[in-house]
Amino acid sequence: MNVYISATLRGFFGKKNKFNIEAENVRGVLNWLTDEYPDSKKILFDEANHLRSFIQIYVGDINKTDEIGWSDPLPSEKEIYLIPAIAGGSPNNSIISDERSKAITLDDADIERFEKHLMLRDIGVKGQKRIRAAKVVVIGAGALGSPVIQYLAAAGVGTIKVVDYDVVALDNLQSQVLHTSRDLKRPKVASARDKVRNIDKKIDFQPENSKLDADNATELIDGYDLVIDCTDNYKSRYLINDACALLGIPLVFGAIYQYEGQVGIFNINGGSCYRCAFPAPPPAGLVPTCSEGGSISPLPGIVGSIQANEALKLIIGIGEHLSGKLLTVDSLYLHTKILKVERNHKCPLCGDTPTIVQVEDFDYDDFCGLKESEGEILVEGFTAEEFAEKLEKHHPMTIVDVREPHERAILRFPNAVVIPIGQLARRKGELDPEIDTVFLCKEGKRSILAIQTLREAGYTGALYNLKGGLDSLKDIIFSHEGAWL
Amino acid sequence: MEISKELFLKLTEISEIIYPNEACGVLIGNNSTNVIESVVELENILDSTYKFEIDSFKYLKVEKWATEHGKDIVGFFHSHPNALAVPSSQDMQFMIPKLSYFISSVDETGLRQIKAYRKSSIDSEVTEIKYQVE
Repeated sequence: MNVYISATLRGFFGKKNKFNIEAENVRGVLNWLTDEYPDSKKILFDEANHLRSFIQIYVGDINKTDEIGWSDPLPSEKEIYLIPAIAGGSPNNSIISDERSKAITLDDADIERFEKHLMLRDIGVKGQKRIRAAKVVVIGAGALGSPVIQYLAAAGVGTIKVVDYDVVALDNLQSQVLHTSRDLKRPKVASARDKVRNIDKKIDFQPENSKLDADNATELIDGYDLVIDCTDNYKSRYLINDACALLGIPLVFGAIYQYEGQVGIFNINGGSCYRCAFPAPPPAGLVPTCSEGGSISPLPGIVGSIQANEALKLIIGIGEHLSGKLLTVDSLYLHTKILKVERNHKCPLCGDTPTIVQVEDFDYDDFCGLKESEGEILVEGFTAEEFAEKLEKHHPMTIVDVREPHERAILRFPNAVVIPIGQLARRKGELDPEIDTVFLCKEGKRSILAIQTLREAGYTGALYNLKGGLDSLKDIIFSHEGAWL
Repeated sequence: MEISKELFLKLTEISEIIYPNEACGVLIGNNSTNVIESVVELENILDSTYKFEIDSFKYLKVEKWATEHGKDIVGFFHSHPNALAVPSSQDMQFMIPKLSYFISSVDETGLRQIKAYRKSSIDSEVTEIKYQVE
């Protein structure tokens, strides 16, 4: 059979481009070649007798480079090709300069503590010094922040700033493993600080108990090497992305919703930004926020751990990372996908003619639909107190609950009519236009949508929204009257 | 090594157009005079900002064309977006002895530099080689 030798390798086989060899399999061909040209043995095989990376073997169009297929019988009509593998990559760039990592020293305790990192050839002392030199900002000390902060601390990141304005609530403990029941009502950054101190006192932990806003975003992250977005809302995501892009700081983004999570890296080496992936947030009220939509307990552990791992790879300068990509993880059916995120040349932030040049000038509330629009102002509503008073006085009214069945199973509102938003227009005859109708949902947003839907359908009776939804009724009526499951 | 101004410009252009992804291609010429006579850009099948790979059979077509026209494969070229023009560990792993490897360093402002490397034998270290732009 014919064996074709690539021009790049001919020099090692007497400059011949073709051989006719009688052999049963690929192994036979290789043995023949190395017997005939003993010097070629070193070219084809390394010291451990493995085929070198730059050699590829094809039988017809089937790749037989892997040794597993070398004993397979050869179809005699097929030609065998010995061709080079032409590949390579850029040297990995750490986001930490050599100058800064060289200034770091590791003592005996550090050597013992980080032994498992030092064992890895690609991390070693050099990588561990880079980790110690790194200055990272984690925004959000909640579900995603929990694994991110703890793993960064355990890995030895030298400076960790945590930004969060919230206090620990009971419903946080289902997934925010940074906090315990002893931390209830404490600022989240306080329990984060305790956790980090207990892991490694050498870490410079910088708690920032304030709300991230356009006025302080730049100041909070300026001078740091990396930002990790562990927030749960669109406004913060756009704000963080914009501030990072404008300052040239790489961003590790993460998000979770119900059973699914996403991780991506933006604003690095001319790659895409969060706005390239998601030019605009979904209309407000259409997709429930994570706090409204819920999520399974270990999901933030999975997604946050991937974020921490990506952050460390960027710091050390190893492996492949999710720059310009979006990893999606479906924890329910165990599917993962990596989607490509191309840089959008029309992106208002990182495109060819940017219009966003300063975060202070961009109206994030308006962009994310958080401002009361004119339509919403036209919807009349009761506050929780007003509503409670009307109930107390037996004010005649129809109460319509527009929540999903599984939400009603958590907390049933007594004497409410249940009508899903999709059926409202059709079922408007069930409402009495002579008396007030009050709509309620969990947070008071979907109920506005319900009122607008009815108005469009031509309903003329009085319609009211329960402002702030059932959540606002907690401690007003539900501590004693509610039908808790 | 010798490369014409025109071909040097072609390497620059390919690196800049494909940026932020890695560009790659084949250098064809004459191995006895050490002159690069043409540059054939090939698709980076990994479509990546930090690694590249060339489809074997697409390369084979180029090689067969070169042989038919009495030309040699002088070496290969690829770009390093946002990185130095030095061979990475993967680059060295894939280097075939005696061939020339041109590596360009490119960032968003354009080409920074192009350097060339060679491994003179299977046991020797990779060394930088000089080239002239004529």
